[in-house]
Parts: sequence; C-alpha cells; structure tokens
Amino acid sequence: MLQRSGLGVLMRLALCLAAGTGTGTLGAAVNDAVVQEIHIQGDRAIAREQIIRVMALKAGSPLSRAAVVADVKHIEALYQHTGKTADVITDLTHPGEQEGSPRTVLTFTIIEGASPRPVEPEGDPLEIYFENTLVCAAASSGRDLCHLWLNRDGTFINFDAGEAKTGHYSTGPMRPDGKVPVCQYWDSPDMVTPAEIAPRMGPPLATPATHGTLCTTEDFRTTCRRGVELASLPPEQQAIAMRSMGERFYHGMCYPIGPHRIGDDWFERDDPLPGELGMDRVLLIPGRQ
Amino acid sequence: MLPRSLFFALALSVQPLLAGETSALHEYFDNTLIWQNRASGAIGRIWLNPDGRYYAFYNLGPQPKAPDVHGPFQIEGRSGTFTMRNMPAGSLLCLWPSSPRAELKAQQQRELYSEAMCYTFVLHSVGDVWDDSADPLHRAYRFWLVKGR
Repeated sequence: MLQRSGLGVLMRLALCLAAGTGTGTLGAAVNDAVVQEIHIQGDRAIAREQIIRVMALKAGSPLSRAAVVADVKHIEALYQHTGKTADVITDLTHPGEQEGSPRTVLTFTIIEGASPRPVEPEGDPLEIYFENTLVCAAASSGRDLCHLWLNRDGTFINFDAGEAKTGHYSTGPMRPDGKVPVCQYWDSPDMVTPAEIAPRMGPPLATPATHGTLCTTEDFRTTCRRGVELASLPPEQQAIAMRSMGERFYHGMCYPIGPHRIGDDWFERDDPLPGELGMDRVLLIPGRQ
Repeated sequence: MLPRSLFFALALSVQPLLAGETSALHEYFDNTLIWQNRASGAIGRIWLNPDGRYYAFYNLGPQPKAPDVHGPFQIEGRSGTFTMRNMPAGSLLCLWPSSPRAELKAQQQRELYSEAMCYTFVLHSVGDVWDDSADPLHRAYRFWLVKGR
C-alpha cells in the first residue's frame, strides 16, 4: 500500500516560494491560469533549495499540465543524478475556496525510495477505475463511506451505508496535476430506504433550518459553501442551498480523480464537500466490491 | 424450506435467464428489494434487471477497525446474473456473481444474496413489508420492496 499524502502521516514540509495569498471576493471562481503557491513536501535526501533550482515553475508562473510534467521530470532526474529514486506526486488544491477567496496551490510530494511512476501514462486515466472500486472514507476515523463503480459507457453506481444510486458522468479536461474532473449525476434524487433502517446523518434539528449548503458547478468544478445563511441569498440560490444530498448529486457534483494503481490509499483535499479534517480519504481496491 | 444441499445442487444446474421468465418479477424491476438481518443488523438491497443482471449491496455495520485496501469494509457490493426458477416447493432466485470477484465479508457471514446459490423467493408487491427466514441458515429477516432505486 502506498500512502501518497496526508496530514499526520507525512511531515508537512511545505515551502511557500512566494506569498501569493489571493484577494478574491466572496464567491470568486477558481483561476488555475497562474499558480500562486508551490509547496514541496517529503524531501529529505535532497535539500529543497536544490530541488527549487531545477524547477521552472515559480509562484506567479503560468500553470499548465506541460509545465508540471516538466518539473516532475526535473525533480526525478535530480534524484536519479544523485543515485536515488523518487516518485513525485502533484496535487492542485484551492484553500480558501469555500470562503470565497481561493488560492491556487500546487504541491509536489516526493516519495523517496519509490520507483517513479510514469508522469504521462498512455491511455485513459480513468481506465483503472472501470473494473475496480473507488472507496471514499472518512479522513480521520477511516470509516468507509461510499463505493463507486465507474463504467466505460459513462454510467456509474455509487453506494453507501444508506442508498445505492445509478447515474452518469461527464469528464472535463485534465488538470495541471494530472487529475480528471469527473462530474457525477445521479439518475434520481430520491432516497428509498425505509425510515426504520435509514442511517442517521446527524443530530435532529431542533429548529427550522436557517442555513444551507450552496454548491455551484462551473467548468467541471463544483464549489460548495457550508453554513450559508439562507436569508442572505436570492430565492433561486436559496432553493439550491436547501437541496438534500440526493438533489445535489442529481444536479451534479464534480470530483477530481487522479491516475492511481490498485492498492493506492490517499487523501484528496480538492473535493467540493470534504469531510473530516477538510479532506477525504480515498482507496482504490481490486474488483467490484 | 429447501435443504442447503439442494440449494447448491440447483445453483449448479440453472441456466441464464430466459426472456419469458422475467414477467413474474416485473414489480422488482426499477425498484429495490431491501432486507435487514434481524440478528446481525446487516442491511442489504438488491436490484433485479429485466436483462438478467443483478446488483446487491450490503451494509454490514461499523467494523472493528478502519479498512485498508483489504478491508474490512462496512459497505460492500456485488453484481452478477440471476435466474428465477419455479419449483414444486416454491420459487427460487439463483444468483451467479460476476467473476473474477473478491471474497466479500458479506459472503463470509453468509448474508442473504451474497453467495452463488439459489434462495427461496416469494414474490411480493411494491410497498410490501414482510418478515421471513429466507436464507439457508433460517435467520430472521425483515423485507421491504420499495418503489424506485
């Protein structure tokens, strides 16, 4: 099992190469044209100053998949030159997005001693998911929360402790970190489990809901804000903020899915509604199960 | 109730679903059969499709440890093909899980509809709720045939 990244597992050795903090207004869209921060973590055998020297990307640089691929190759070559091996994983995240001021942060995680995986694998990056199972789990407790079966024909089945749903998905262009945005649309927003056995999703509300979760999707990216005061929203957004989980997925929720191998176990911080610790744990397990 | 050996014998002899055999199950298509093992608390659901494919999902309840790629998982699923057989002793739902397949914990626990075998099956209507001992171990279950998926 490869632990690809995660708070409390890898020592956070982030290096902020410049202080681009973002000054967007509430509700500003993510802008991946320029990288604002670059973090490097996991380096021990080689000083980060050396790594920075071989990288072309700097804070403020135009961001593209080609530029990220080039820098991954630069870092891997640096390790190879010193007689070491390393696999370099890239992760594009947008801290501050839920507060309306997203920053574009690119993290290079270096797994020293690991054989580098192809940074530009041939074929469909989703191919590995078609005969296997993507498990989403709670980041802290590890409890598994959902299982996703993606199919080649554009359909999927997602099931959790309470429901099983069919749906269809669409994919967006590959992101600079090599992940593909996968927008999932359930075929039905309805929950069918009898109340007698339906899992409780949280404590019962003592008062009518005054706050909601507002999710919007644009350019294959879903941004959600929790705890939005309904009274502050125009009527059409109030209706969106009051949607149930089933209704949210019926209207579409986009998740970044990266190139992985069976047995990988990683954390995703760029999900629209991350769970514990602000991220989701994800596993790719063999077969349909 | 059919003896367990007969379940296995029938499981080996059934053929893929024929078109003419689907009509009895029309209330199950596009809807969901849900059950709960009243002893273990495990919950399952099954979708039966007119083309002879089925999908079964299991919620085994909180597990003693967080899963790694080998489990244990609270949630499991399985797909395959099914046949419906009318026998003198009653109808049988025979399941053929797709292969290759991982061994599920639901299967180890012999949860309902988790194995490659034939199960006694009494037809119901959407909206029905009933209790039965439908698995080879004669454990108590409650069933719901609910509208939709």
